Amino acid sequence: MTGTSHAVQLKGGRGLAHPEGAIDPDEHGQDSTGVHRPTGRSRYREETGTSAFAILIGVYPGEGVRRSAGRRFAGPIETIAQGVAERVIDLVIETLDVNALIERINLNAVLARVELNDLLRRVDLNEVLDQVDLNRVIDRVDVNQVLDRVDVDRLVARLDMNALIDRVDVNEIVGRIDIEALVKNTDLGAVMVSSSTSLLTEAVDLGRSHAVSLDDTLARWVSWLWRNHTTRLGPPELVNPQEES
Amino acid sequence: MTGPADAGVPVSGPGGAPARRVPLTTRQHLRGHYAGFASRFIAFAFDCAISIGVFELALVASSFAASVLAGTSIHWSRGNTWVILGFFAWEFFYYAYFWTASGKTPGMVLLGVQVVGEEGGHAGTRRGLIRTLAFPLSFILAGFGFLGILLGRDRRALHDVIAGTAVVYCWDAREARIRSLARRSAARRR
Repeated sequence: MTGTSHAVQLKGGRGLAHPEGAIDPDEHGQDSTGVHRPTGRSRYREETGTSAFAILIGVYPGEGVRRSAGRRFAGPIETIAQGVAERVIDLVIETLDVNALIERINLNAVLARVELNDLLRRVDLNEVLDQVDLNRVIDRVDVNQVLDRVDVDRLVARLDMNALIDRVDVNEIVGRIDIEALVKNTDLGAVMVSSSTSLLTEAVDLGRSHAVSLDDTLARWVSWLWRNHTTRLGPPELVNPQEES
Repeated sequence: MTGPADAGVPVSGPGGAPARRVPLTTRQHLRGHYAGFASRFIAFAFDCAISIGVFELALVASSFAASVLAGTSIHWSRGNTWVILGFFAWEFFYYAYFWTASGKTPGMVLLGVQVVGEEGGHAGTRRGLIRTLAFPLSFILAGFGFLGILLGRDRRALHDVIAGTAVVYCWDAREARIRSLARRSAARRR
């Protein structure tokens, strides 16, 4: 009997309840964690409530069936379950009104929990920008709507106007203005006349302009007669080299 | 622009209109550019008129003063040595004073031209005096001394070369152009 019982012990001791053998119960049915886990034999005893079939101890008939059934059906069932889960997820997503869901999300609260600086530090903005077709983005933006939502006063209050003006080349801007058109088409001309010119100024301007025209004409004649004739614009201290070129 | 050769640059009109020549005064302020022959000549003509007029007035005034104070009238003859000497002294003073002081005689002020050093700075007393002394040379050489204004690279006459000076425009042509436009626009609105 001892041999049988030993053999039975060996069979039963494999722990049907723990086919992986992760936790091996001892002969008292306790595993290393101290939890009572009945072995196959003791479980049979517990299940039958008798020790009359001692000979059958360790040869629990359902055990083999259970194992082979498990082996046979586990794969297909798992595949089916996975298919079902995927289908269910698809259905759920199709049914979901994402817009409604987004509306229910308090984005401010979400954003408040995001550490933007950390996030930005991790992002290579140049790489991101390289991938962005800005023209398409801008085409899709309703600028008026954006501007409606901007608090311009607050924005301006945050600007360092002096720093901004320091970066502006005022001379270049003034150079771009068509002053002649401005004077011609606005009341600016009248203001200028009333404040700065007199008949004498007018006469002097006219005389000088005619004299310069004569200078120009003479110079053109000379350059026509003397093909290789070149002149300089003015003394180096008075004429900008850029103007000269 | 490198010279007067391209001074009258053709500029196409709006909407592909035919090209037109834009006046020099419209395109450039001209301040600091070498002055041309016409401006300088007209300025000199004004100076001649002013200086001779003042000299004649001085002769008339001295004659009148002598008749009032001494009771004898003096008739100045143009061939009188003292009158000729006085005239040259006056002319020397007239040009020397204005060229050394500001670089501008009254005629030059009217035409908007000024005498400067060849680098563009103030002419100064020494150069002003040398220029005044060398000025007659340009006349004595049958006027050839003035050819440099037309043909020279820096538009300098003989007396300019000797004194190390140049003559430049000192008025803003664009400003004048804008004033002229303003006057026209104001006249239209009235």
